Parts: sequence; C-alpha cells; structure tokens
Amino acid sequence: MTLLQNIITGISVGGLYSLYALGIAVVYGVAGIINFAHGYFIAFAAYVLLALAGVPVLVAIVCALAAGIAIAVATERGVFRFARGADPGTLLVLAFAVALAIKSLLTLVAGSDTVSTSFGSELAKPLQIGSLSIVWIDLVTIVVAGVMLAGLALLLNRTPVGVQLRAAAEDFTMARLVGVRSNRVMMVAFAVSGLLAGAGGLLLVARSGTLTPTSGLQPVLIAFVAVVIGGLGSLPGAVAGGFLLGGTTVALQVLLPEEIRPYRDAILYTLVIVILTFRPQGLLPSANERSRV
Amino acid sequence: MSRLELSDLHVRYGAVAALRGVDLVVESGTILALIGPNGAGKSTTLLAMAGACEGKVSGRIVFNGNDISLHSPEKRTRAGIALVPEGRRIFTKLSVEQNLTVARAGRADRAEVEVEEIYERFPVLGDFASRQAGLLSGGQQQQLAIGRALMMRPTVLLLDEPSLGLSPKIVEEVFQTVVTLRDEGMTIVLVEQNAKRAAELADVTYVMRHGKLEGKGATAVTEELAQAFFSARGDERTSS
Repeated sequence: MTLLQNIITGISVGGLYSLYALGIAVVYGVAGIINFAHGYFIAFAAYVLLALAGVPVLVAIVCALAAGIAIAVATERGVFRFARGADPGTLLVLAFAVALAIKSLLTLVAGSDTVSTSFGSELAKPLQIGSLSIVWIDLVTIVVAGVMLAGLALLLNRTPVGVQLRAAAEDFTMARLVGVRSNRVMMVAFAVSGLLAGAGGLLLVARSGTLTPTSGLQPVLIAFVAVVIGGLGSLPGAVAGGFLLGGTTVALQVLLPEEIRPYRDAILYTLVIVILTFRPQGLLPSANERSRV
Repeated sequence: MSRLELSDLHVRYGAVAALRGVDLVVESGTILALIGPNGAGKSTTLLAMAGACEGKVSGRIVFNGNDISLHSPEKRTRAGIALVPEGRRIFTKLSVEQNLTVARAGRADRAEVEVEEIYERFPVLGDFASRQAGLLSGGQQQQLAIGRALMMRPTVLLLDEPSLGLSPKIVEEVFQTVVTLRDEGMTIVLVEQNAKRAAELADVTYVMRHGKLEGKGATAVTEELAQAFFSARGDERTSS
C-alpha cells in the first residue's frame, strides 16, 4: 500500500510540475521567449485568490484563473509584442524585467511578508481507503492536472486555433505564411500560459498554505528544468519532463536513506545533468527550431 | 488578374547585399522562372515577395495596383500570394489534414475550402489524411506543401525549388501540376535548380546572378539562358 501511496504522490507532484512546465513551453514554442515572468504570473494569481477571502470559493477560484490569464495577456500586449523578432538575449532580459516589475507590484500592494491562508487546509487531511491513506490535495492536484492537460490536448488537436498554435510552435514564419495571424496566436499562447499559471498558483497555495511575492520562483525553476529535460519548445516533452522530475523527486525522497535525504535535490539535478549529457536535445525535442519573422 | 511588380528591390543580410536593385513584372496567368547559381538571390526574391525575408528590404512591391511592401506575410497571403518554400516546411507534427486545414486561415473571404478539392488533385494526400505529415515521403510532402498553398486559393503561387530531392518521375508530376495550375489561370513564379526544365515550362525566364537580373527571354531563347546559367555556375566553381 505504501508503494501505491507513493505512486499517487509521484503522479500528483509530476502533474503539478507538468502544469508549470507547460506554461513555459507553450510561450517558448510560439514566441521563442524564455519567460522567467511565469513564476510571477503564478504568484499574481495566488494573491488575487487570497485577496478574495470571504468571497464564495468557486468565484475566488475563477477570478484567480482569470487573473492569471489577464496578467499574461497584458504582458504580451504591453511588452513582448513590441519586441517581437528581437534576439533571444533581448527577450530574456525583457522577461527578467517583467518578472521584477510584477514582483515589485506584488510587494507594493501586499508587502513582502509571508502571508498565511486557510485556503485548501481541508485538503491536507488524508482520505482513508482501507490501509491506503491518500492526502486529498494529491487527489485534487491529479484531477486538476488531468483536466488541464486533457483540455489543452483537446484545444491543440481539435480546434482551429489550437492547430494554428501547434503550427506556429513548429514553424512560426511558415504559420504566418499560411495566414495564421501572429498577434492572435501569440495572445492565445500567453492566455493558455496564464491559465496554467493560475491553476498552478491555486495548487501552490493549497499545498503550502503560505504565499510571498517570490513563491513562484521555485516552481518556475522546476518548470525550466522540466522543459529542458523534455526538449525545449516541445509541449509533450514539457509534460514528460514534468512527470519525470516530479516522479523522481518523490522516488528519491522515499528511497534515499534518511542521512542522505537532505542531498535529494543535489542527486536529482546530478541525474538531470547526466540525462542532458547523453541527450542534450531533451527527451522529446520539437521538430525544428526555425527563425522567426 | 494578378500582376506582381517589383521595383528597385534591395535586400541586405547585414553587410551582405542579397538583392541589388531587382526590377521585375510578373504578368497574370504566366509562369515566370528564375534561374541562376546558388546565392544569386532567387529564393530571397520569393521570400521578399511573400513578406518573409529576414533581411533588410527596400524598394517597392506592388500587387494588383496596391503597394504591399510593408504588409505582413499573413496580409499578403490573404491578398492572394502563397509561398511553397524551399524544403517544403510542412508542419511535420500535424496530420496531413491539419496541414491543409490550418491554411484556411489564409483565406481572405474566410470561405471554407474543402480539403476534398485538394485530395482530388493529389489523391495520395487523401489516402494519408490522418497520417503525421513528417512521415510522408519527399514527393508526398511536396504535394502537401503545394496543396497547403492551394487551400488559400492564391492567385499568385511562389514555388521555391519544388524538385529538390525528388526522383525524376515525381519531379515530372510536380512540374505537370505547375503547368496545370497555370492553365487554370494561376500566376506562378518558379525558382528551380533544373534550369533547362524550368525554362521549358516557363512563359518568361530570367537569369539571376549576384542579386541582379542578368537576362530575360521567352521560351524560344531557353537554350541561351540555360547556357548563361551553366556558365555562371561554372564561374562559381572556379571562384570557390
């Protein structure tokens, strides 16, 4: 039963990491931007949730998700659109600037102190099924990640805008040459990224019960590692990378002797280095990386 | 009616001048072939027409009387200019059918162009409609690239090296398609490594070299133009 519990925890953490990674990958795939601001999209959505304490929880959740979308789309419209076609270095610096701006905004409005919340505290309780004990938040995370991934898969495979998004992610210039509107597809990519950040923010708060303006930093670092392992620009790769990273984290936590456990992350990232040494393009690299108009 | 006119077109990639004052008129319902050695500026000319040139472009591009020099690639596509690029650049992760339907975005009137029309012209695409496009053979991918362009119902089709990497039999099929499209009224600009064959197909042929048009003629002077091309290529070899 312990094994099954650990597998469920691994899937839960992997699902969460996949959401973080997909948010990065979808923007990188279409816009070529390594969006360090994504972590602050997560924090922004989480702060909106906390600001709506007292409001019916479903309304607060919807507003937090909408806030994630809004901040991501506003960033695209207000900043990145004007830098389209700039070299990757410029876009990276711009992403850092946006990240710092959102962090400063959050600090200005909410302060830099850690904020505690009771949101999701009910989910910390275990669900007992015979001898199997599963924490509710793990189940909720799996369901949320599953719904988000399935929804995204439907969007990308079954809707015209989703197919356009995939085409643009594979070859942005060629997508434009078949009439795909660059502004529209870029906005959709950021909106999807914002929605994923919103969902990630809700789960982050529900799991930790605390929040600071820099709470999104750790998730975004994890997301980048997952994206690179999966193959930069590849959406299935981001999901695979997220699950691999999450599953391995939990496996190491469980399997390592107690005296070595503090070095878990060091061991984890050594494994990452080994993977990238033998497969520098990642596990499921994107078809091609073409220049952008 | 679809007249495309380039006036004093220049393209620079950094310090390198790829096009140096190209003046060209593509008349409606004709095949215009551009031949010349590698690096002559043929593909750059097509990319500049389609709005997808990454270099610094100056000069005028007029399409049906409208100056489209500053228009985005997608706007030019909706105006009726479609590019089949060198290397095909199909979306390898999408299915064959998705490669076609994604090009509906390029229709100005937003009318549904049925994929069946494309399948009638290229039956093999219909047979492999749900197959991942990257798994098609080179010839099938070329048909898909042309089919994708036709989904946009263009009036001008820009074809860059459509025979590259294909077997002689498939090349002839592709060229036959080009002639059929011209006979249906489409205007075609063809960049082709097979200079002699291109000049045979074309109504007008230009030789390009060092970013300039060096010669022009109707099919009657094909042999002379091909000679010019081959001698130019020989020069390239000598200089390298």
